[in-house]
Amino acid sequence: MSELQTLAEMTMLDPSKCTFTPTDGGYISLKYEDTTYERIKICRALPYKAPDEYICLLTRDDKEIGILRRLNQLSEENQKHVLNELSKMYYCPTVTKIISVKDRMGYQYYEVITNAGKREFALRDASRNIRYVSPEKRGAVQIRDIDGNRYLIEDFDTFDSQSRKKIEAFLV
Amino acid sequence: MAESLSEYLSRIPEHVREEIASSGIDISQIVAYIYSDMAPDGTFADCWIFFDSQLLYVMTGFDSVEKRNGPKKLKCVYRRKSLERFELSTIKKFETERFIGTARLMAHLEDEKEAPVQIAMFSLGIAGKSERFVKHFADMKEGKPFDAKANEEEELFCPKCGTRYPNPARKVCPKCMNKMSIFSRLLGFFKFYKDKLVLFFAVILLSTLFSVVSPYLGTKLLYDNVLTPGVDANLYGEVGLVMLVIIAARLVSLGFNMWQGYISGGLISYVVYDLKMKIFTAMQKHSMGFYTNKQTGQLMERVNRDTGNIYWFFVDGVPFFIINVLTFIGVLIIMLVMNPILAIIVTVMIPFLLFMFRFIHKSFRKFHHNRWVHQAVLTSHISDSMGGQRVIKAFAKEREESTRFAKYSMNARNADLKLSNAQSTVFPLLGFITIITNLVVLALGGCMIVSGYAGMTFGKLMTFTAYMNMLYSPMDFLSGFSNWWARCVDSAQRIFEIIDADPDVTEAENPVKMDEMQGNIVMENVNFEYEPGRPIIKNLSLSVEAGHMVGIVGKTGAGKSTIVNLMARLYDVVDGKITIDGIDVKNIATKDMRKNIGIVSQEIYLFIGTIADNIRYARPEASMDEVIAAAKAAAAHDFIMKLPDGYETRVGAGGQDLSGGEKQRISIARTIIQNPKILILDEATASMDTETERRIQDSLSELKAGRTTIAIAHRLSTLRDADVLAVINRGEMVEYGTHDELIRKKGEYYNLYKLQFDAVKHIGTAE
Repeated sequence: MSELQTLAEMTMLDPSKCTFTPTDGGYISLKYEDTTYERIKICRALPYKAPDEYICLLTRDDKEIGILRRLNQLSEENQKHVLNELSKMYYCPTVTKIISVKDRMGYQYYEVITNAGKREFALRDASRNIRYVSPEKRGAVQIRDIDGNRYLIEDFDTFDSQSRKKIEAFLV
Repeated sequence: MAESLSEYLSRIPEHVREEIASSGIDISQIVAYIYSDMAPDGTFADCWIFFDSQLLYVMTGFDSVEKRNGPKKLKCVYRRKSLERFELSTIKKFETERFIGTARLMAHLEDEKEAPVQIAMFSLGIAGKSERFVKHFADMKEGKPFDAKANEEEELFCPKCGTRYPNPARKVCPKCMNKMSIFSRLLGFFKFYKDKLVLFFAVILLSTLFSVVSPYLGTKLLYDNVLTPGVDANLYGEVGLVMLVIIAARLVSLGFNMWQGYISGGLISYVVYDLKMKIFTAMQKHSMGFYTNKQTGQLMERVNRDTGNIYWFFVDGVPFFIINVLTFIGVLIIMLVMNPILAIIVTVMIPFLLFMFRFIHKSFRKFHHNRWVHQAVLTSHISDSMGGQRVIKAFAKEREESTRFAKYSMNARNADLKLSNAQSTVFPLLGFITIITNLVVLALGGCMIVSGYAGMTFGKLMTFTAYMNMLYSPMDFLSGFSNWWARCVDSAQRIFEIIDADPDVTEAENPVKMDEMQGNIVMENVNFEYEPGRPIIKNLSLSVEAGHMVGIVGKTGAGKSTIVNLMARLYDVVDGKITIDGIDVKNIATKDMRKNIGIVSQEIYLFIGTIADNIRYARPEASMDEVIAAAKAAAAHDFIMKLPDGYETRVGAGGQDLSGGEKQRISIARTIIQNPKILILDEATASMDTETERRIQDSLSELKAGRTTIAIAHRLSTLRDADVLAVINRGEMVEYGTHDELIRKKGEYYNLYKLQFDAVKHIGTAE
């Protein structure tokens, strides 16, 4: 084992020792070995490429507890709890249709239908804020509005063709 | 502007207020409210959360538009799904929790064993408002009155039409913006140049007139009078003469065109110069906050690109617009006079052609944009790898970089190809359409000549088609003009914003003149935040005696620089007071503030010019002796003398490259020559080696006599001469006292000191 690998092992958590429990108020707690961490935060190291790998666990005041290498090493029950927390953390409505795009003063105004309902938002610098999630430039497309809210188009190739025409010029 | 509680409450939309009232809640008792755009399950909804002195209400539902009978057919109503009530007495405080895509408002209960309760969920744009809601609640708990200032809402939506402001700091609604009024204000800049303007229009009119008349001379006369036997005995066969007339007409028209170019170019250059001056002067007025909010790049873009947009709009756009409109109308009139029937046929086709042109403009814009984006990516990649050559070479990645370049270059090539393919298809097609139009006219006109209808002659028909061809170019121009116009108005709008913006740090109306300060600085309960809800300085009190040196110590981001910026009034405090010699800094004349307070900051900036100029910046009249003395005190003299051009070395953009430490020393010299009563050293010696630092310190301590010094440093050894030390942590002062006192206290300072001292000791033993 290389030295770097030894170093890496130190931050990795042993999945068999993790027990996650949802708590009141929509929080989640972690019992690892003999310590219990209340209201932990869960983040992805590779949110797009490998959303279920390298899951980082933090305490309430943002100190790292450790990293889970793969989610599927956890028991099903635990996996469910972690995924639940992740979906809250990374909440992102899916766009099903773009009703209109209006250019005004260098900003774009969108009216879209998402799986969470109809929504209007504005964005600037379209070619930077509408982009393919993967570097291969295929599949899912992410839109980020002025406030940093994110919207996802699950698969651009099968996306509604009228909607696709409205934004394809900005996809680089 | 601070607003009253009733104003604040009146911003709740009427239909929501109706709904609240119908639930038996007295709106006037509401202390604070917040709108949330999501239901607790994450679906988009319209929810309202508010509290009075007893209860917290959470109203979930959505706005909907209903059809009604009566004069107002559409009415907005609120469809309530649920209304929950919580006892306020059980809630200790609220907190906004931010996630990556959303945020939520949590209530922490008085019973600490209970977990916090989720009150609402919303998208990120509302998180800022939520912070204010949290503050209102905290204020109420503490028994403080309604804080109108906290409600200086950043309105995110246009109150008139509900459109989201593209930039909340700008508060310009693209829908409601009055384009004409902006344009007319822009035209106001021309009023100093009235004579030129009149001349300009006269020349345009003449040049258009000539170009409209020339086909008549050139075609009608030639075909019908010169080439047709028996019509006009005087002119028949005089081909040469007519040619001369045509050339003369063309020459006159050409002359007018050139003249018009000179006039408009001259006129606009003056107007744009005036505009630039206005912007630059307006920008100088603003506080530091203005510059940190808006990126410097953006500002430079405004001065240059926006005025550029206006320049080209007026130089190219406006004259061509007038010429094209005049030509268009003139040609149509001539055609109507020549042959009404054919003219009407052409008129019918105009909307169709205009639509075609507009469509082409639109689709080409897309291709152009695509090409532009790929070019930009390619350019940034080139500069990326040029700038990163050292790293590329260090990791031997030349080949990979070439591959990466090939990829971006290929994208750019494909975008080019798409554009040129589109051009190759569209333009011939467009040509074909115009040919068809011409053919229709020729065929009909031909029939008219043969049947002798309406006095149609060969010459007339040729002239008619010549005029028709003159219509295409104005149509093309006019169909693309709206974009141009929109861009110009947008630029003008941005420029006026800067000119109109009120500086947030303004000089008092009758400022106190303080020629010579003594240097007693007192900060009383100072609070400060750059953005609402994120306090940087919290209730900080600190006093500095005249002639003393205070060291400010703390971790990165603790708020040390902010404290000195507030002392120098680069920003205004949000709450509390700062006085110098007993006078509130807000009342001291800005000029005297700048004269008496010298700052050497961690950001060093040298202006374009010689080293001597830079040192003299604060006092241009300083003698060369003084410059050298200052440079010596700042330990800069030695390295300056090693430069081939000495004190005349040009620095700043495009000048001699100096190291960070060298620039720092020049900026110290610049402050020394200013001879301020209050000297602020913000990490002034951070980028220097310990020996140079020691030398500067020695010379500074000579200068320190009778001077108040405030020094910020990471390296505690820098502060060895300080009379007192203030330890800052997260915007609060945690310790205050002399070095010995703080060491004895064994608190935060002691820990920091031990850490650095141990490091030194460690190196000592290693040697």
